[in-house]
Amino acid sequence: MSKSSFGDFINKKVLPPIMKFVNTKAITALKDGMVYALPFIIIGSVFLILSNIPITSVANALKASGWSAVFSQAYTASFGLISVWASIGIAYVYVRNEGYEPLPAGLTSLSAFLILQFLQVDNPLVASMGKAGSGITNAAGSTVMSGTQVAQNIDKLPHALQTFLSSPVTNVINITWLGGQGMIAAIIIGILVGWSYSKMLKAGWKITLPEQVPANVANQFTAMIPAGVILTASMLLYAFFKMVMSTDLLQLIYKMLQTPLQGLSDSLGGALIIAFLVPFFWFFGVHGGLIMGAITSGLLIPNTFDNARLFNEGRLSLANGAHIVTNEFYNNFINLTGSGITIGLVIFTLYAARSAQMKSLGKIELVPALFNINEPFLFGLPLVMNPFLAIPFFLTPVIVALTTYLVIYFGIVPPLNGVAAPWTTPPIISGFLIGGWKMAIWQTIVLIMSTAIYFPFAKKYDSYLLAQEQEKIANETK
Amino acid sequence: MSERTIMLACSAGMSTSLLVSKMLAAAKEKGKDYKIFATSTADIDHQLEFTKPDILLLGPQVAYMKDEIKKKTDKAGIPMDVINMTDYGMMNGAKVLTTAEEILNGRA
Repeated sequence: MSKSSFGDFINKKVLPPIMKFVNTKAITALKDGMVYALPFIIIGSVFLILSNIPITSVANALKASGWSAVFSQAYTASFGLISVWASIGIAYVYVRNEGYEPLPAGLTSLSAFLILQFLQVDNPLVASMGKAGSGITNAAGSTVMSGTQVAQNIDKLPHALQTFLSSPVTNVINITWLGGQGMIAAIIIGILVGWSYSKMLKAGWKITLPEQVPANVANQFTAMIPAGVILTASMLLYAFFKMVMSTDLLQLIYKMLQTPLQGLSDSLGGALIIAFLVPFFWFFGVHGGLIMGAITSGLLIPNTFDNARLFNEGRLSLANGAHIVTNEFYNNFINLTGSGITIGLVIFTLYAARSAQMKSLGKIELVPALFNINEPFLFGLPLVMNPFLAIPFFLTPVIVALTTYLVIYFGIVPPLNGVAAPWTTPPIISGFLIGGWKMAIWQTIVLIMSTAIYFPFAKKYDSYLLAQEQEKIANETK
Repeated sequence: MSERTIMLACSAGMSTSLLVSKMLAAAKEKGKDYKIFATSTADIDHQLEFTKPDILLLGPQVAYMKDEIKKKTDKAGIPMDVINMTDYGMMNGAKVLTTAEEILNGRA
C-alpha cells in the first residue's frame, strides 16, 4: 500500500468511527465533566506534598506538631473527593449540552451515587485483629498491641459484646468510595443520570406551573420528576443488591470492572499503546493528547489516587500495590514537552538547523515547549502527515514509556507519588513534584533521549528544507 | 468598546492563546481595536452566551469537532472556520487576522 492511500484509508475508514465515539454525548460529558475535578486534584496535591515533605526531619516535625494531619484533612476533602466531583461534573455537562438547567442533574447524580453505596465503614477493630491484623498503634506510629493480642483480648469478652464491637459503623459516608475506588461507578452513574434526566425532560416529564409562577420557583419544580424517578430507581437498585446479593453497586463495579481495567491501564502493554496512539492521532492532524486523555483519565486518575493514598500513608511501593502507569505517567512523561516529546526537535532547531523554516520555528516553539505545548511544531514544521519526522515522532513516546515503565518496575526510580502537577508544569520541575529528585533526573534523561532520537531525522529534514529554500531563491533570482 | 470580538478555541485554549497575542499585535499595527481571546472547546457554549463573539476560529487540532461546534455557532448566528494548519503552526497572527476580517466583512 502506498503512503497516500494508507493516509486515505486512515482518514476515511479508521478516524471517523473513532471521532464519532469521542464525540458521543457520553464521552464528551466524561471528558468535560472531569475538568471540574482538576482544580481539586491539583490543589489537593499541594496539601498532599505538605503533609508528606520528602525531608525526614521536616516530616517528623510536622507529624509531631499535628500539622501533618491538618494538611491530610485538606487533601482528603479535595483530591480525596474525586468521585464526587466526577459524578456531579459529568451529569452536569451532559445535561448542559442538552440545553437544560444543569445543576439539579449534577446534584441528582451525587445523590444517586450515595444511594448506591452502603453508608457504613468497617469497624477498625476488624482490620486490627488476628495474625494478619495491623494491631493497635499509638500516635507516634509504634505498635502497642499486636493483632494476635487484640484478638485474644476480644475473645475474652461475652459473645454479644464481641459482635457489637466488630460490627460496621453505620450512618457515615465511607470516604473510600468518594475517592479513586468509586471512580468508574461515578462515571457510569454520571453518564446514566445525565442521559436519563435529559431524556425525561425532552419527553416533557415535568410539572408545568401556571405562567404567573415566578420562573425561579418553576425551575425548582422542573427537576422534581426526573430527580424523583432517578432516585427511586437508584433506591430500588440499592435494595436489590443489598437483599439479593448482600453487596452494593459500587463494590460490584469496583470488583468486576474497575480493578481489571485499572490493571490493564497499568500494564506495560497498556502504557505502550497509549504512548503510541497520541502521536498516531496527531499524525493525522487530530488532537491525540486530548482524545487519549479523555479515554484513559477515568482509569489513570484512580491509579494516581491509589498512589497518593499509599504516599499519604507513608508506604508507597510497588509491593504495597502502587501503580506504575498513572495519570502523571501520561501527562508528564508520554506528553512531556508536548505530544511526541519534541524537545529534541527544539534543541535541534535552535543549535543545528540551517533552514530558515526550522530556525524560525525553533524560536517560536522554545517557550511553549517548556510548558509542554508544541502546536507550532505539530502544524508548522509540520509533524502532521510528515513522513520525514514520522519515525522519531512515533518512536520517542513509545521508547520513553517503555524505559520509564522499566526503571520504576526494577526499582531504580520509585513509583510516582500520586501528586498531580498541572500538565503545563515544566519538565524536571514536574518530575520533582510527582516523584522526587530521582524522577527529576529521570526526566532529564528523557529529554536527552528525545534529542538523540530526533537528531538524525531532523538533520535529514533540515537539509531537505534548506535545498528547497535555496532552489526557491535560485528561481527568484533568475 | 472594541469593534469586533474574535474568539479562538482549541482543546484547552493554551496553544491558541499564543496565537492570540500575535493577532493582537497584528491588529495594533493595523490600528484596529479588536477583542481577541482564546478558550477551550468545552467553554464555547458559555462564551457564545456571555461574551457574544462575532466570529469563532477553531484550532486545526480540534477540526474534528467542526460539525458539532458549527451547530452551536449557527444557533448563535455567527460565522466560524478552522484556522489554516500552516498559519497556525507558524503562529502567523497577521494572516489569521486577515482571514477573520475577510469572513466578517463577507458577512457584513
